[in-house]
Amino acid sequence: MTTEAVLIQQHLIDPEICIRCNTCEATCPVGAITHDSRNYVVDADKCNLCMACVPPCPTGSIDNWRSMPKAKAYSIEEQLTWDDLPVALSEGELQAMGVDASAASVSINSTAPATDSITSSGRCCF
Amino acid sequence: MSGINYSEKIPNNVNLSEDRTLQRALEQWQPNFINWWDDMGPEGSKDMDVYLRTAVSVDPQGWAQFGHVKMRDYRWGVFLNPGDQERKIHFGDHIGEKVWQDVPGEHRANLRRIIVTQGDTEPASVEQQRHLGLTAPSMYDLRNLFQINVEEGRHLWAMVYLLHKYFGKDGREEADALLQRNSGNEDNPRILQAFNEKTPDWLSFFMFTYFTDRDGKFQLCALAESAFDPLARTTKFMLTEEAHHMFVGESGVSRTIQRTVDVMNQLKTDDVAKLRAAGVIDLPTIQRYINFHFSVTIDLFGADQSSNAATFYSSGLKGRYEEGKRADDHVLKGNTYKILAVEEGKLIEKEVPMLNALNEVLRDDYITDSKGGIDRWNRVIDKAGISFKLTAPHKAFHRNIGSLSGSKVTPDGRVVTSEEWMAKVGEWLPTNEDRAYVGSLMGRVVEPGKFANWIAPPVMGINRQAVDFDYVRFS
Repeated sequence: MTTEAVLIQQHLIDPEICIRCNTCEATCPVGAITHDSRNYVVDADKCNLCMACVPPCPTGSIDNWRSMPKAKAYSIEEQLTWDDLPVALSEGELQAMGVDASAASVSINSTAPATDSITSSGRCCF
Repeated sequence: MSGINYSEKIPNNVNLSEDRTLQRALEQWQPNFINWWDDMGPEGSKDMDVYLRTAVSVDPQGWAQFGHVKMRDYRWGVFLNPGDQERKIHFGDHIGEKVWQDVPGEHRANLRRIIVTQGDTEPASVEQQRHLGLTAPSMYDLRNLFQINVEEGRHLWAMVYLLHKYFGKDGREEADALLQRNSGNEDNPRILQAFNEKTPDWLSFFMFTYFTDRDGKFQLCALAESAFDPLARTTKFMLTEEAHHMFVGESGVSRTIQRTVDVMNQLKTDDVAKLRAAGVIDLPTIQRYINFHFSVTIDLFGADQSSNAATFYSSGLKGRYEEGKRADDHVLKGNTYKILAVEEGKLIEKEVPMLNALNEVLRDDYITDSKGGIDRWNRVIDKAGISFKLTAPHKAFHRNIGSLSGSKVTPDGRVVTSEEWMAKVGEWLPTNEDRAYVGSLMGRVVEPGKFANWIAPPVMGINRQAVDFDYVRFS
């Protein structure tokens, strides 16, 4: 499988709901969360989907996920400009990007949420 | 309380079951706390089962356990964030030395004062909010109010733990006094004036939790840098809970605005009288509430020049917000900072030693953070296609502490005469009429999933529950 073809569940924070309380950044054990004066964002290269940040989030904004080709993951710089979350990519769009969404292989680590535990709205349901 | 299982009754990570001295102090204090809760806690809530979050440990899995409980039986715990054996003091004159696990004698009085002042605000806000449950706009909101109330109670426990554990007889007396002062009591008021004001309606409550609890966040962040390690670790954990309080404020105001702009679009009007006739809170009134709560809250940071603030910093008791992320020498001896003053009828900037201006530094950090939420409220208005912008008032507006105290400055930063102030203050601060109108909207709605007419539902429920979940069960 080429790098292009690797599908990840990218962890994202909904900027419309997030109140910038910093709890997630303070909780994250791997330093994957950062912020500017506008948004709190997750670095897809660092996040290991350990979920430590999910229960402490007071708003539920932390609990958002998008199936993305690893090479096309939303960068921190891009996330910092968002006013709301991007629409989840359809299976067809993912296939056009060279990944098979139905295969649902998650490449990051064994504790990551499987693709089938994430609803079509992009919220985790476990 | 003797013979009880301390770990079960009082969740803690401070080895309470082995600490007889602390047990004895809490055995004396805890019944008084329950009496205080019965007398001064949420009115009429005794028989309610409330869907509350309880912290049973500080790890991500344990700090947010949800279930229906009676508030009187809430398990108020004592928690410190995990320690770091290698932690060093990272600012002030003791920079580079090991942090303190006990209170150094020379800093005892100042540390006690800091802890008592912080601790006093916790029960104060419960007292201020005790009648609000009777006019909750929904069951969801009622639950959120009660969550805040029990967590303010837990924050009181956190400060009482420090007083009992580290300050001996003086600490026990101070802990008792925290239950004896009461918000608004003429003979024995709370220490800070903002905590003696009434929280008369839910818009005030949301503004209070957005603006005034955010002051709490900044004070706790500054204390989380402290060289007194138990204080730093305690306040660090409190911050996690404080975040929920600010969420209630930010989303509460946002939902109020959402409902208003929805009705503005339905009726195709921005006429205040028509909007009030339709039972929503007009945007100019929301702006006046912002002006009031913002200005009262920034006074809480204290005088713009303060030798106490310099002493607290240099001795390592209290740092700056995000001290560790700042790129200066963390000693600040030669640094300066600009503060505002009024001279010859004009606002001017004065450069003063930064150490003396640390209250102002924290206030400015707070202002930047506060404005972020106001921007997000404006997005709700923008999305509705309405041309109206909420703003934070000028830092010099309606100030009663420091060198700006008593100056007459408009929300946009213009110095005016007392006559002009008196003529226009009704445009800038909530009038009696505004407060009476908002008060008139406050009726109780507690059917699951139903909301008062003046506020929109939230986008999601608590802990992934539905918005119409039975967050409060009435017996």
